Amino acid sequence: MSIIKSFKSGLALVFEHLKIIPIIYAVNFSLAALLAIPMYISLHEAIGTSGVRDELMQGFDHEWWTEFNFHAEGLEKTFRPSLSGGFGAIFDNVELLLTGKFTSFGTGIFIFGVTYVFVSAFMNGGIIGLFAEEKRKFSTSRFFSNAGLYFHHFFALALTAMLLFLLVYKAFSSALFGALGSFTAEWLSDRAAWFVNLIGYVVLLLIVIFFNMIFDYAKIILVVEKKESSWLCIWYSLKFSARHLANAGGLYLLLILVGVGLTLVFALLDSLINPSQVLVLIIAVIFQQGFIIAKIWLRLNFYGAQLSYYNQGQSEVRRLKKI
Amino acid sequence: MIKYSIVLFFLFALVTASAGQSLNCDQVVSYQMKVALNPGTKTITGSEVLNWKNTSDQPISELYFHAYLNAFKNTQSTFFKEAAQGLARYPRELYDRPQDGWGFVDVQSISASSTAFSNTDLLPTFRYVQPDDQNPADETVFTVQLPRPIGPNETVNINIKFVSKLPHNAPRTEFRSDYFFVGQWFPKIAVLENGKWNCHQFHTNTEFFADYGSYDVSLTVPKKYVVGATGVMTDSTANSDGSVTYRFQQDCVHDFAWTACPRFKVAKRMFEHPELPPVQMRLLYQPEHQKYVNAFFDATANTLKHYGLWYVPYPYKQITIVDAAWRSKSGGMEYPTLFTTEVDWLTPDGTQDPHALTVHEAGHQFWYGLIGNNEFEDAWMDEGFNSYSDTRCENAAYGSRAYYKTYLSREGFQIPLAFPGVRIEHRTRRLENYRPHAAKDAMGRLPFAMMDGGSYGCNAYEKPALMLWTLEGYLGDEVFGRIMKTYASRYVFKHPKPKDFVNVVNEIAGQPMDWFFEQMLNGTGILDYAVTEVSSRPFVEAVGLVGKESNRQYQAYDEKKKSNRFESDVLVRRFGEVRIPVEVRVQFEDGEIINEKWDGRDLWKRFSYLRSSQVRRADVDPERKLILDLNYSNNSRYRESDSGAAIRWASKWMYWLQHFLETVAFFS
Repeated sequence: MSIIKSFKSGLALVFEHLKIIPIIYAVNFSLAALLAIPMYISLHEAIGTSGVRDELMQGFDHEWWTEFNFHAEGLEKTFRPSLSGGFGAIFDNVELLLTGKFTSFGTGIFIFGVTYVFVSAFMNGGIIGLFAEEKRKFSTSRFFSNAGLYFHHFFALALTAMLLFLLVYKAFSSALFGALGSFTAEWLSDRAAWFVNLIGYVVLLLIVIFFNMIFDYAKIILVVEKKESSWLCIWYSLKFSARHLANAGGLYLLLILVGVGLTLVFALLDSLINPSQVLVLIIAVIFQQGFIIAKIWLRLNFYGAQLSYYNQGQSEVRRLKKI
Repeated sequence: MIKYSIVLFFLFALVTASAGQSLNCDQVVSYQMKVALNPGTKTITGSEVLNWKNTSDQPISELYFHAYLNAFKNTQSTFFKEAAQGLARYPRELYDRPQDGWGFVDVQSISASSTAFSNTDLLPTFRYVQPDDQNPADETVFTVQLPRPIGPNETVNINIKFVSKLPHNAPRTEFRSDYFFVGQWFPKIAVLENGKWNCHQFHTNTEFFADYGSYDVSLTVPKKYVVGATGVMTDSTANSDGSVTYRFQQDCVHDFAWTACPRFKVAKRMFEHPELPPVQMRLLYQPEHQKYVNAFFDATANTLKHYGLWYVPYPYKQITIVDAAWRSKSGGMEYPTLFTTEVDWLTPDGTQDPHALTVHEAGHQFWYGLIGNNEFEDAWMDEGFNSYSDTRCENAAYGSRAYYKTYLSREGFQIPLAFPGVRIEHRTRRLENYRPHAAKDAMGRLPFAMMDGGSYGCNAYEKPALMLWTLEGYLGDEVFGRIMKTYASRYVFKHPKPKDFVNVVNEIAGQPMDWFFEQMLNGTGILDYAVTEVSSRPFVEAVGLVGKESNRQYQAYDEKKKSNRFESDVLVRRFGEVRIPVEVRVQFEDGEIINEKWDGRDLWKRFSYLRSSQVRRADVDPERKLILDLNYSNNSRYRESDSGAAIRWASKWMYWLQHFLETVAFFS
């Protein structure tokens, strides 16, 4: 069982099912557009006739933003300088995975996010269902029938995952950083305290990754082994992941590295684009949408590569059992 | 050996003289203190010999003293009670301190002597008083009765023995591990103004006020401690018990603060400028902040330069910069010839940290230090003047700063990310903190009587800074520059009142500006002018009955006879209560520009035009002189709307939301 081999197999799987990407992208785009329209209306009302629109076409106007933010309500409160380009928007979101502060953008966005988790759980059934089929050909109807078939299991898994992560963020993280805070309470060096806290974040990251990996394999086991209990699949996944910790973890980290690489390239290029003219604005929008598509592609790769890895591992076990 | 001693004597005399250089101030007090720090018990034990002069025209028989450290004695002090009411800028974690975390100052003995009476024990007359709130548990002010009154211009010598216990991690004065910052720590006489004691308790939202005088303080600390203090070190003596006594002296200052910590690294640099006196800059910094040494010096030097040229030269020989220990609450505070600043070891370039804080605290040397107004009562005259000046100085020295955000922030950790494309302009940056508190209190209200910490901050820092920027815009750079220079040089060491500044403005501006200050100091109104309507329509020749009596003719409306001229209207409105004359600029499609003036008194003013071109855009206050204007985006208006900018930023926002959705899909 090789990490690279699984990664390559995953890539091939995704390549054979590229048509899944437009479906997921369409869902993502449509849902985001639902909220982007009122945001556009708010912005247009605020700057459509004002002279500040000239500055805002050239770049972000911080002073205008402080005024807009002061009067902002609801969704408008989520408009902020870090969206201006580069790493800001990405860091704003990735940070949430380590802090768990998903309500920091307001209740509306939080509920929207939770809804999307369940929508994604539905689509994950379609993705893994198609990937697991021996007949490797995309079919929209099979995608949705698989999504429907596994939804109740995936819904339960998503709910369980959210509860578990709630524990991680609220209990474990608080206890961990509380202890580190007490440990460094009387230190006079901010640098030393920074590195101690960094260790805390690394531990938290590893735990978040590990739990996510467990739930990924739970979904894969549920589909591949046609299990009926999603709870038991978490247990099977835990056993599988523990048995293959180095390789399964290695594969997961490799996929994360691909994601980090993609993000770096995108953010660097994005920071170079300043859409002060309509044509550049269109290019910038297309470029951003390209990154969202790349992110969806990466999500498929996670499932593809891990499914391949699981299948390889299981066939090896079966072969050994025969011997 | 004798020759060597003589040389040493002269050297010592030279250094001592330089500490008390030719400063011309009315020295009301003279303190001689000998104190020792006990790091184990976190206490300072010592004696104080105070020579006080009665500068009033009345005999004085009662003396008032501040005992600031008693604010940290327990939660019943006025300081803590106000903090509990939510007045504080400080969190309630102030309460959560161990037994040795509380602070106090105990007067063990106090006696006095003068030409009118011999040394007399005053302790039997010692009593705590609460002039502001009658809170009997507050012990931050005490009085003693003299056996006989002190006449005008007479002096009294007061001998005090005291023990000061420093609180743990408390605002402005504290210990943390072996870091000691010692401020407001000794029994300090109040200010006698017009025959009455001007003495306030220690409040949560307040600063300080004291007479100018000379300080001669000997500090004994364990050998490993590095010490920084107000004034100039004139002597150091190694003691047989392994401690060292450092002597600091300074004339013409109104307080004395010091710090001691074994971790401090020391760096020195000279400030030199052809038009200003040289100043020795002494920096005490944290070892891990080595890379910011240049920034600390650079910001201090820029302050000495710009404030010195704009206002008055810094007259002392030395300025001490203290880089406060991490997590301490003493970072960012001013004391005579010494100030504290701070920086995070991971601060990104371009964000002007630690420059901004360093300029601000160094800038206090001029307003708080040299002008010395009563911060208890008119905080805005120090913090506000300094906030205006620091933005001006930062702008001149560094230009606009980059916005930055910190990620994964918690005590002891953050990952800062700078956004070089998002610029923060110094002139206007204080509007952000002004808006939420603009209408809570009048600026002229007593700072400690303000509604909350936000209102105090707004009225002490933001509003006065914006007010001064607005006044500069209104009167012009040159006139306003002369106003500030005249005010500063006229009132060095003089404790001016608000009226003194207003008088200088009226005098130099050559016009009465009381109407402006009346609105600013006593009003809570906001300044907000707006262009709310910009319209053009084709001019229609007269339709209806045209001509007189017998020549009167009926003219019907004829689409073909439409004129090629346009009637245009620009409606400018005053949304705020503050009234100030404004300029209005109207641009037409053919490039013509018309500048109008409006006295700004009514609620609105409509400007109408008949031109061959339609109006394109109108701006009220087009040159952005009125920085205090709360809503700047309504100052300008195009006749036609455009959606380009809204699409640009809505698409960015939508992209973030799409990414957010894909991020939370992690849990699916």
